[in-house]
Amino acid sequence: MFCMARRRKNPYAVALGRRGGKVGGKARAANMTPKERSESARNAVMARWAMQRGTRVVDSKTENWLKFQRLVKKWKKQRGASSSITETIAMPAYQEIIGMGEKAVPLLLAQLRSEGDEPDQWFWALRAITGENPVKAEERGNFRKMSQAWLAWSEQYVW
Amino acid sequence: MFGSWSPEELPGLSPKSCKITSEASTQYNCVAWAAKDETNYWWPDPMDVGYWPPGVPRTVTRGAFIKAFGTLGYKKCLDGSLEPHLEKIAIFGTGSSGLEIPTHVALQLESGEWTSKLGPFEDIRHKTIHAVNGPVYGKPICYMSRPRS
Repeated sequence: MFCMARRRKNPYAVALGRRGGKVGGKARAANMTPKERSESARNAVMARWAMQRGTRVVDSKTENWLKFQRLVKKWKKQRGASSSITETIAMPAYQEIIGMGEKAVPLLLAQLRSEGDEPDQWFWALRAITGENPVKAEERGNFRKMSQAWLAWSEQYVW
Repeated sequence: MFGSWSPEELPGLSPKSCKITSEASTQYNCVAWAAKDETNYWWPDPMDVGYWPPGVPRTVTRGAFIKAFGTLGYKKCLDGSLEPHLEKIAIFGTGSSGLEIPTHVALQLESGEWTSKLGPFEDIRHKTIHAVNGPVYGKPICYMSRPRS
C-alpha cells in the first residue's frame, strides 16, 4: 500500500510548527555574529529578489525536478525507435527514475499532466514505485485513459 | 532532417526508400498499427501497461506474437511476396535463430509496399520490407497472412 500523506493537514501541528519557527528565527539571530547576521540577511534579500525576477533558489525539490527532466530527456534519446515496453523500461535512464523512489511520483504525475493527450510510458514507473494500479483491465494499452486513471488516483494525496 | 529517428537506428530509410505518412505519436506502436488499432499501445509486458489480446501469453516471444495475430485471423505463411488476395504482416526480431526476441511488426499494403510505425515516431510507407532492417528491429523472423477483405 502506497503511503504518502493524505490530504488535510492537522491544524494543531501547523500552529505548533509556526510557533516554533518564529521562536527559532529569533534565537538563531541572537546566536549569530554581526557578520553572520549580515550574510544571512543578504541571502534572504537575494532569495526574495530572485523570486521576484521569476527565478528560484535551487532547493532539494527543484534539484529533483531538474534531475528528473534530465533523465526524461536522456530516456527519450535512449529509447529511439523502439516499440518494446519491456526494452525501453529497462534502459538506464528509466531505471534511474524508478530508483528515485517516492520523490519521483509527483514528478511523474506532473509529467503525465504536461503531456496532455500524448502521455508517454510513465505507468510502469508509477506502478513499480507505488505498488498501486488504478487502471481498469479494459483500459490497458490506452495511454490517455491510463493517464486519466493515474491523475484521478493522485487526487487523494498531498504531494 | 528526414523523420524523427536517427539514421544509425534505421540505416535503410531515406527519402527514396520511404515516405512519412503521419505525425509522431506515443499513443500506439508498430504492433497496434499492424493490427489497425490506433488507440492502444500493444505489448505483452508483465506489468499490464500495454494492450495484449485476452488469452494470449504476455511474454515477448515469437510464439506469443504469432498467437496474438492469430486472434485477428492471421496464419503463418512462407514469405512477404505480394499475393493480391492476402493481407500480410512481417514480425521482426533480434537475437539468434530460434530464440529471437520480437521487436517490430510491419503490414503489407495492397500495392505490395509496407507500412510501419516507428516506435514513438512517425508512420511510414516503405518500398521493401527490408528497409527497416537494422540494429533496432533486426530482420523479419516470421510472415503471416489472412484473406484480404
